[in-house]
Amino acid sequence: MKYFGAEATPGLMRTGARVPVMAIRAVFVLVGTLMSLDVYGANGWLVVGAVFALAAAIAPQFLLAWGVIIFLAIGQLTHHAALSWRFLVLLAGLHLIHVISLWTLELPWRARVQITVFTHGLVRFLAIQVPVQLVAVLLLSLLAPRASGHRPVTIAACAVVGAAALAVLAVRFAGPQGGGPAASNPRARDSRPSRS
Amino acid sequence: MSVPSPHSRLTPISRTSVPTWTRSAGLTAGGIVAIVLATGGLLLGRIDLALLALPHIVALAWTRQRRPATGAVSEATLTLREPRDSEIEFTLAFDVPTGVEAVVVRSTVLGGDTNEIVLAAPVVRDVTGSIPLLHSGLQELVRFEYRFLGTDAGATSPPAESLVATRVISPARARVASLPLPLRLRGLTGSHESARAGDGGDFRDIHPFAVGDRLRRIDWKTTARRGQNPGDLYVRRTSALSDATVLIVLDSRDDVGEQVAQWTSNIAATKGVSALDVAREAASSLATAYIQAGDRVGFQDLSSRNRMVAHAGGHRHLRQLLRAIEVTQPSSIPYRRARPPIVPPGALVYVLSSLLDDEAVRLALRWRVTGHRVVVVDVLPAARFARTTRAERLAHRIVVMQRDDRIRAFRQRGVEYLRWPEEDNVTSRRARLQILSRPTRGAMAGGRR
Repeated sequence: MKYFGAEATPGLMRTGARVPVMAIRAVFVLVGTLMSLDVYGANGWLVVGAVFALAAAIAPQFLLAWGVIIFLAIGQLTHHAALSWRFLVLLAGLHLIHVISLWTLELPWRARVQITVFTHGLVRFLAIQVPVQLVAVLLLSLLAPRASGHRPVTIAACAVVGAAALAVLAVRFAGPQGGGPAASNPRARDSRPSRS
Repeated sequence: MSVPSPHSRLTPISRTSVPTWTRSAGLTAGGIVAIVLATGGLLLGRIDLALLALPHIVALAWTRQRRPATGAVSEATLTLREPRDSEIEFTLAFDVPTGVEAVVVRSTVLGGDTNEIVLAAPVVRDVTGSIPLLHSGLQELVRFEYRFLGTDAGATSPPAESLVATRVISPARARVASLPLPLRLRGLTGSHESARAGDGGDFRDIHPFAVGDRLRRIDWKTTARRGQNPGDLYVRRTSALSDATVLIVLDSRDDVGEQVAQWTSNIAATKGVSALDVAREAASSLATAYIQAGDRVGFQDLSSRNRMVAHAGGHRHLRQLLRAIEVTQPSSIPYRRARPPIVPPGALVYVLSSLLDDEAVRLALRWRVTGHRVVVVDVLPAARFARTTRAERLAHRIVVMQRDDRIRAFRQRGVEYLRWPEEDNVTSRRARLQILSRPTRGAMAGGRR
């Protein structure tokens, strides 16, 4: 056996494609900066957002990433609440920042990550984003006021829809268990056909 | 060629644990952000702000619903293969509880730098890898520390008990063609021709017939040529065969590598070939060569009173010797002996040492004074100065000068010297062994070779 080698080499495990955690942090900075550009445009706030994202990537233990989310949400207040591609991008971007931040918080910065680690997370992200985007499109189309101040659906209409929804829920949950006539009327119980 | 050791079997190392789960601070932060956004949207009448909270709320609910079950058992298994081509293959497998999405694995190879990798949990099956075998002897090959991450890293477990693979690696063995012999050969059997007349050896001399000589040994031609009286007879005498007794003394009290910069830290992964690697190779090569030649070999480890093998011959004894040589390692407790180890009469003593202190030289001189032939085998590998400072190079130079003084002193007093590591600009080990194997009578009186 020949053992007179030089030095032990790193990367001993054959685990397929891997990415360094630093790349994930770089993606976080990129997403944070792009979202800042999306919300604030190319001005001084963009620099603030980029620096904020950079600080959050360097020191994730201080939970600055969620500060970035708040920072971007505040920026959304400067825009009119209306359906736009910019808002939908922001909706996905903030969710992505949350997901990436959770990972960067727990992954050692020198580690390398199997790409398949993110497969389930990506599926989950899409499974959440697709309905959320649809709901956002629907609600913003119906509830967001137009530039003229006109609302397609008023608060009163919402109250009617809400009341109807509450009624459906009440019937669904209270009906079969204790509130229904079959449960309270002993005769009704006796009149059931015998299993024998 | 190596002798398989009991440690070379496939022995899976398993660790079972019940991980406890800690909620990530990010989940709390995400929850707070979702509440702030939803409340802000409600108070400000901004539906877009409330909508921004929606994916966070759904994601948090999902993470909570898919959190790993408390009390579920996890198991990690490390399996080492047979050493092959100066490396050893391993397989690492995890059996993880439901809800675990990733395993953070930290590996430390040969005590060197750590290497972290994050593996996808549902597919953590048979992760393979290889570890370079840089040294012989008992060593910690690899250490794995690991912890689990739940869905979206929303829950984490503390590091589980480490998986540690410790193995005894057989040293390399060089072929030794020329064997130096003791000053006196003992016994009536063996493979070496002794100075005595007897049976088994080659032609020794022509001698006048004496009482006890066999008649068939009478050389009639010589008798006819030399005989001056009718009763004069001459016999052909052959040499007797004998065996040698060899004691190998291994100085394992220190183990420094070829990288001088690593002499203080002494990390197996980066120190290069070490003195003990060379010593184990030399000891096992010499032991094998002498045993195969029919001689008797004993072994003594200077750092431990337990690692002593009395001199004997045969293949079973060789296995015992090789095992004792394999497991030599430096001891953290200095072993100071009052008297030197007892050497069999007439034995050839090999002292394998890096010669960085006086102890081995002192013992060698003691044995030489008592009439033994002593060969000091220098096992310090050639120095390499990568990443050394000027002060370290200077210190090394001083140490080497002191070492040279020791070598000069014991050679002047009749102890022979053999440098084992092969170097480019020095006589080869084979040539040096040939020189040492020449007949020693007369030459040993003054002693310098």
